[in-house]
This record gives sequence, C-alpha cells and structure tokens, in this order.
Amino acid sequence: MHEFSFAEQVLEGIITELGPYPEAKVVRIRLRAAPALAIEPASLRFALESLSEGTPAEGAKIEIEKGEAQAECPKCGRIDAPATPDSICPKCGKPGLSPAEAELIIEEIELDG
Amino acid sequence: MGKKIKLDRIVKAPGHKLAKELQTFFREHGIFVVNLIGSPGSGKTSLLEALAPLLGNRAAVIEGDLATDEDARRLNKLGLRSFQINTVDACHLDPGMIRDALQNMQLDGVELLFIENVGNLVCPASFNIGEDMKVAVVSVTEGDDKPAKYPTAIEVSSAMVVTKIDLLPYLKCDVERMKRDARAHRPDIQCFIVSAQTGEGVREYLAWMEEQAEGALQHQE
Repeated sequence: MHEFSFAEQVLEGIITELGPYPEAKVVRIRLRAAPALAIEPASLRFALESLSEGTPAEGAKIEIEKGEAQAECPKCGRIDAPATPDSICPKCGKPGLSPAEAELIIEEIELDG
Repeated sequence: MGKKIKLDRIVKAPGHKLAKELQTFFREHGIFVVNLIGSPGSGKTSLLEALAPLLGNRAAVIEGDLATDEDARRLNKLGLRSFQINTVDACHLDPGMIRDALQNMQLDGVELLFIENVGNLVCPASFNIGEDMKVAVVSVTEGDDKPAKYPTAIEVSSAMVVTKIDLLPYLKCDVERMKRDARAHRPDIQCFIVSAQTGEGVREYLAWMEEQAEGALQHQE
C-alpha cells in the first residue's frame, strides 16, 4: 500500500547516482527489501514501472528480493537472523539483541551506454 | 555490455526521519509510547476505557479515526485526556499527524501515551509514528484465524491483546490457536487475554506495559 512512496524514493536515489553518466539508461535495478517492511514485490514493481516512464530508468528490469530478517547485536552489529525472545545473539552469545530497522536497499543498477 | 554500479543505497520508510525525531522528543520528555493497531471494532477504545480508571493523569491518548471525535469524547469523559485526529481518507496514522496532534496537546505529567491507530489490521503495521512499541488488538469475534492471516501486524507487535473474551461461551474461537499462530510469526510476542467488560486481564496487561515503559526509560538514563 505504501509501495508508491518507496518507489519514488528508489527512483530519486537512482537518478542521483546517474549524475556522472548523463547519457546512460538504466537497464536493470536490483533491490532487497527487509521482510518487516511489508513490501509486496508485485506492487513495488508496478509502482516503479509507472513512475519511471519518461526517466532514464524507463523499461529497466526490476529484481526484488525479500531479504532475511535482521537483528542488531551490540557487539556483532547487524546479523542475518531474527531477534530472539531472550535477546541473546546467536553469533556471540551476548544479550541485547534487538530487531534491526527495516530497510529497502538499492543493491545494484546496471547501465547501458 | 552494461556497466554495473554497486549502490547499497538505503531507502527508509516514508516519514522515517520525522518518526525518529518524535521518538527523541518522547524520550526527552520521559514518555513511553504505545501504538495500538487492530481492525475496526476490535475493541481498542474499549480497552482504553477499561484502562482509564487505572491510568489517571499519567496517561494520554491520541485517537485516530477517519471521521468523528466519538472515541476521544468517550475517553475524555472517563478522565483520560485524549486528542482526536481525523484522517478523512487515510487508512493509517503517519508521523506528520502525530507531530500536529502534539502541538494541540497538554502532556504535563504524562508518562504513557497510547496512540490508537485507524481501525485496520494491514496498513498501520508498516508505519512507525514515533512509538516505543506496537501492540496488536485482536478480538475473539473476528475469528481465531486472524493472527495467521495478518502476519505483518503480528510481526511488528511486541504484544497481542485478545479482547472480548467474555463472549467466548457464544463463539467458536480457539484462543490457544491465536496465541500459537502469533508466536509462530513473532516468538517473543506477549499475549494478553482480556475483557474490557469484566476487566479480566486488564491489570495484567497494564502491569506489563508499565514494566516495559520503566525498562525503556531506565535504559536511556
């Protein structure tokens, strides 16, 4: 339901990165969405397709991967694991594990020209 | 051959920055914030009504509904200071609405702020509005399959409050299933079984809430 606002930010981010390549067209966009964001890949793809019309990203192949649940450990930082009920880090055994903030990551774009 | 650019650029949820600012504001003022989410008619306001006499002056409520100020009036009548937001068409509260509401509220002495989101078990789950935790309110009349069917609401919630249990004799509803499904999606979820009519379970829920608030505020010191 909020996929359009994410799509706007994704496009903004991509266009900013295109600064050094004024002639380039984006042919592929790879995204990774944290599960807690509740992003529906089909809706996000539709939003990106609609909003990218007339931009260098028009027609780009959009790949959306649902990432692993992540947690934040005071010692290990971000880990690919859900926060545990006892908040013990499965990696180092220290307490204080909490769910990591949900994010959408633009991992990579591929340009043509 | 196309040129690949590795970006790893992070896109935050809409309103992320403002939500963080609100969180800081609440922390600085020693206010613990609970974002209540649940379907229309799940008993969110009734739960607050049941809590009202136990809360007194140390709590306040922001009420979100598409229309009417009925809920805020219900709670104000019970001495629980409440401010109503009307979202008109919006299906959830966003951080901008909370910021605006705060400008119209008197928060002196408030330690616990409940934000009752728009009745909706889907959209409010995706938005942080400056809260310390979300709590999902699910009534037994909605059917015991709801935690399984709306997993996102459960995943983002620290607690699930099952309401209207005084109606259980008249319903086919397996509360154990609700708890089981909720824990499958969020292993550390706290489950409370309450009736706003009889008051059953309400004190337990409040006690836990206060413990959480104390923990969060101490953590900050």
